[in-house]
Amino acid sequence: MIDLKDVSKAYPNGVHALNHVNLHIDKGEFVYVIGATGSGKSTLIKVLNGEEVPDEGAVIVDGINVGALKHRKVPYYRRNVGCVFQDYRLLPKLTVFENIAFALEVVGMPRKQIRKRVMEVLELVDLKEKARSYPDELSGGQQQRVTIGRAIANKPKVLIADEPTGNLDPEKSLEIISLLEKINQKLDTTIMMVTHDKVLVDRFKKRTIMLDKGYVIHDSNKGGYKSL
Amino acid sequence: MMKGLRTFLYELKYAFLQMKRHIMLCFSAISAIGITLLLIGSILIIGLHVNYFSNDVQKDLSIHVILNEDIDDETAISSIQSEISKLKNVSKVEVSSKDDELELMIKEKGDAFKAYRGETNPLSNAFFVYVKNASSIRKTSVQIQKIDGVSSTAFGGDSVTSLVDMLNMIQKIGLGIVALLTLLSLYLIYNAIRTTIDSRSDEIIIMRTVGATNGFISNPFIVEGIFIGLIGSIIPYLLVHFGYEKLYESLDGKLFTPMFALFKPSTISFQVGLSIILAGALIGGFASLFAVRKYLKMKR
Repeated sequence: MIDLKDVSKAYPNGVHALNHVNLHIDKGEFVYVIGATGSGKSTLIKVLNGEEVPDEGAVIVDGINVGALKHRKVPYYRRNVGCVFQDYRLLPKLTVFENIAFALEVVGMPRKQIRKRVMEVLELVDLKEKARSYPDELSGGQQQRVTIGRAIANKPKVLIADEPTGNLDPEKSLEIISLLEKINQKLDTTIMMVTHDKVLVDRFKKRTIMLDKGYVIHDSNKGGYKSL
Repeated sequence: MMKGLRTFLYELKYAFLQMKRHIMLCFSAISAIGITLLLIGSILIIGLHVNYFSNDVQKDLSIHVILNEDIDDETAISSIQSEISKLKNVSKVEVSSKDDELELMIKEKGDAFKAYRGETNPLSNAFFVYVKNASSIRKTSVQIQKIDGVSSTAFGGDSVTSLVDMLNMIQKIGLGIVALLTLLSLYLIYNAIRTTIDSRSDEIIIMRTVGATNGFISNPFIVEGIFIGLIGSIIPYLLVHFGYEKLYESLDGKLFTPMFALFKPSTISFQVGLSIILAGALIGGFASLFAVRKYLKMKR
């Protein structure tokens, strides 16, 4: 599903964010990406969602060479890649329902279908009773679930979660990770989760990729920090 | 088709919402574009008339060129004719023979002159020279005067040309003012749109992440700009429509003399009115297009 072939990316200020990264992630896999600040995690996400173009190498997602996409094709590609962020990025003036519907409005889905799909998604993320609430009436964990709902509304093949538990207490973090696991298993969505959370990585063991200074220094199927 | 309509409705909805949020900014942009369009309208009205008058004047205005008495053979006449034709401002040279001249005189001054018909005709051969640009008819006349074999030249309507000149001048000054005001309204609309873009930057980032196309993101802003332009064109349109009607009535449909008939109010309302509305929409659309291009930065 995701293939990085000798990918390098440097920024104009001289920082080498990614150095000769080679990765292969299968369809339906759930992987963690860990590493210190400045290790290249954010750039990895950006080359995957098409925001940045690698200087060298190729990023192939679902058979599409992301770096070679024309600018006007990028939005269509992006509909296949859901994104979840640490800071939720919900629209405060829209209800939970409207926030999720927004992602579908943007791609021009008919109103009736939007209604149906949003209800399905709310069911999945277990927020049906909060459909009419506004984001500031929700807890952090609930807000993050809305974000996840928005990210999967378009049925993407890949879901990228950038520190989804970064602002949450351990209990709420468990909620999020089990939701992501559910999506991974039920919908067969390939998930890449960037995280700092040692507890989670050790408890829910999955393939773990560790970045440092733009290099992949560990890629272990055993999972957990201890294996590294 | 359905999808296009749905997208359009979405754009309309957001254009209105945005304008409501920045009502004062929109108001200043609308006033600026209103004043600009009113001036554009007035200048168009003047311009239409200047064009009309001067065409009319040019059609009728000719230089009557009388040749020396001794020039009587065809080759001499046609050589002078071709010499006059070469002058820059000359559009047409018509030969008016001795006999034609006499007939004109009889028509103008009375049957008494019929006695001169035939061999006793004392008049000279002549030309009627038509000019391209009425306002330099005097210069052309002097140039013709200098040609060998020309006895005298005459033309009428000096006051006509000076009126056309004056209107032309007003039009030029007006165009300058319009250019400046157009820039000002472009800038104000640009600013209004930029502010809405700023206030929606979070939304724009989210739109990008969920796969909205650049067109989808920027169209509501462009629709908003066009709206500002269209709303700004309402008052100038009404002023031109009713104002010109009043003017037409009070001047009795003519400027000073029946020679300068004014355009009918319905013509002005249609032509100038349509131009005002179109100009409003164009200025608004382009201003927001510039803003969108600059501030949305068509990145990936």
